[in-house]
Amino acid sequence: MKAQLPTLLLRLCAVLALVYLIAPLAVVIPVSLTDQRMLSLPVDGISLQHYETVFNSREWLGSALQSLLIGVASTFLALFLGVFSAIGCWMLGHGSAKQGKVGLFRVVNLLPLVIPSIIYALGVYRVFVEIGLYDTLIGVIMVHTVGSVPFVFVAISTNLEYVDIALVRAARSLGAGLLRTAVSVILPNIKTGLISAAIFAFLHSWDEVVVTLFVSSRAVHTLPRKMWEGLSENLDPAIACVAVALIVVTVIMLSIEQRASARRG
Amino acid sequence: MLDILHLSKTYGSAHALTDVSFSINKGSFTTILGPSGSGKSTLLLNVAGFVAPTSGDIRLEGRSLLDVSAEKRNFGIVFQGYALFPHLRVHENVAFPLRMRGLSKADIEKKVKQALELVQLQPYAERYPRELSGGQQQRVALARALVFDPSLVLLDEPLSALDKSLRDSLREELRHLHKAVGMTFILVTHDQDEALELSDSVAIINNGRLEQFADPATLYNAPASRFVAEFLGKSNFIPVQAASGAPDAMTLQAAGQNLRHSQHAPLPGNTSNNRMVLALRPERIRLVNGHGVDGDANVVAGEIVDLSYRGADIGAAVRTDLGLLNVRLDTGGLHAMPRIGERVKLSWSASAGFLLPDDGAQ
Repeated sequence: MKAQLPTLLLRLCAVLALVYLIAPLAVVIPVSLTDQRMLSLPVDGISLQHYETVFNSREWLGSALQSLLIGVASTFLALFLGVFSAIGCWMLGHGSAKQGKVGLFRVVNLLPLVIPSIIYALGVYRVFVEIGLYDTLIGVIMVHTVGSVPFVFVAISTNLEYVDIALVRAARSLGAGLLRTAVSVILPNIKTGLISAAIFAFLHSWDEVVVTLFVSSRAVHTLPRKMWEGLSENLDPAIACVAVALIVVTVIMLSIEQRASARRG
Repeated sequence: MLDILHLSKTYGSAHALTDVSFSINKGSFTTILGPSGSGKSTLLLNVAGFVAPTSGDIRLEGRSLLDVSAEKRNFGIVFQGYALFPHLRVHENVAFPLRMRGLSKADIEKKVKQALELVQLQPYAERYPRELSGGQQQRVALARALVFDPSLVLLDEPLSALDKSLRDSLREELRHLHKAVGMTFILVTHDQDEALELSDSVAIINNGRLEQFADPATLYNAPASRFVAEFLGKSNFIPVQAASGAPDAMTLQAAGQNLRHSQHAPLPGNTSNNRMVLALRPERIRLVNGHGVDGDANVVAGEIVDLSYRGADIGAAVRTDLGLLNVRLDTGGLHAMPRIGERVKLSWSASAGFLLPDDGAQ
């Protein structure tokens, strides 16, 4: 059976869109395998020498460790803040009163996503210099946490739509306070949302560079920050290797998230 | 003893409850009955502690509950959709309130077992709620609400989500359960049969106000308002223009006829505007052939305009000078089947009806 022309056009558009999305990512893979000493495509054959350089480099490994540490710490903090904010808004949103205030609180939780990060970075830079958090691990963890909260808030709020609000009243009538209700009744029923939230929060921190550039200099140098510096100072192909590593981690995390959401059905 | 005192609740300018007062005896089965939107659910939420009243008080054994949070009230609640915890097995659901109260593992195990036996669900202890039928989930919710010896059990339309045959059998079970545990039950429902069959006393709520609080027989035989007479069972309403004489030997004027009437309960408070109706239950009216009429009985002539056969009885609509009267005829006491168009005489005794203020309810 011959496909109709509109169908063919539609398919072509879909393929073009995918190429457009994936090509820039895919190009770093051949670049990371170059046999040259500059950031370029392989000329005489492929080589793993730059991977060797990265995995033997104290600097790159240190950066990776720092990124991991910041990512994990900010994920936990963002989960704590975002999950309880989302549960609170959900509970109050189902009460009859205070709708306006709940709406306002929701917006505040989403602000970090809406405000351009460069503007946020500028403000945080000034404050951090004043209070001595500039170029500290804690400072970077704090700004990454703020950036991750909206992702957590949205993931959890979406999951809560599938939870019966009557469970809250049931738990309370049975003797559970608000905190116990949230922890022992609501959390177990939003596990998939928690997994998604954690992964999005971690990924946000994992590739955050704009605000990080503003609030760190020597002591803190996350992977994306070191790549950025590497690109502006020398064109070491090792950057492409790190990029591949970042992409691999991201793809793994996203497939875990996909699997978790699919289970919810 | 639970006392509800002058309870009012407003949402903005909307009055959900207005000055509701009544008292519930310890160990009794009380029903809060009303149509949807009447305020009965708001009343339940106030008692449960999820909503704070605008004014008034709720007292348990003389102590005000207003500053006691929902989780501290120690009330067992069965919710409309059951609200079982989906992530917990049946026995874990029932154990939840005991865990919250910090009981020992052995005590929890013992009480959970007893509660599941009470509702005959021991074989299902290891199942998850989603693996149970609606009726079984209902019983888990009951076990969970009873297991911690609550000072009050609140049931929010517990049977409305079930089909009719299951509803009937669970109603029976609910009554036995109440007898077995001896706790104070408060049922919220819009189902009048449920209310009459289960309760020691019924509070009828309409438009946020308490219409009447009494035992089922009083509600049925001596309704305080036209709304109650209409909402609970069926009634004929005959507009009455004037009433004279002592309460136990009154003469009513209706559509140019004089009717004999007597009642022991107090007459409607404000009869000065003469807007009254005589409420008459269909089963209190008899079909007569001239003989067998008591001296103090009322007799009116009419024509049968509609018949509906229901097995044990026949519903007949009879057009009379007083209006269309619905009559329930016992098939056992009939000499011949009535026919549409037949001229008949209807009779009721002076004490059969009830005089009420006409509040215009339909």
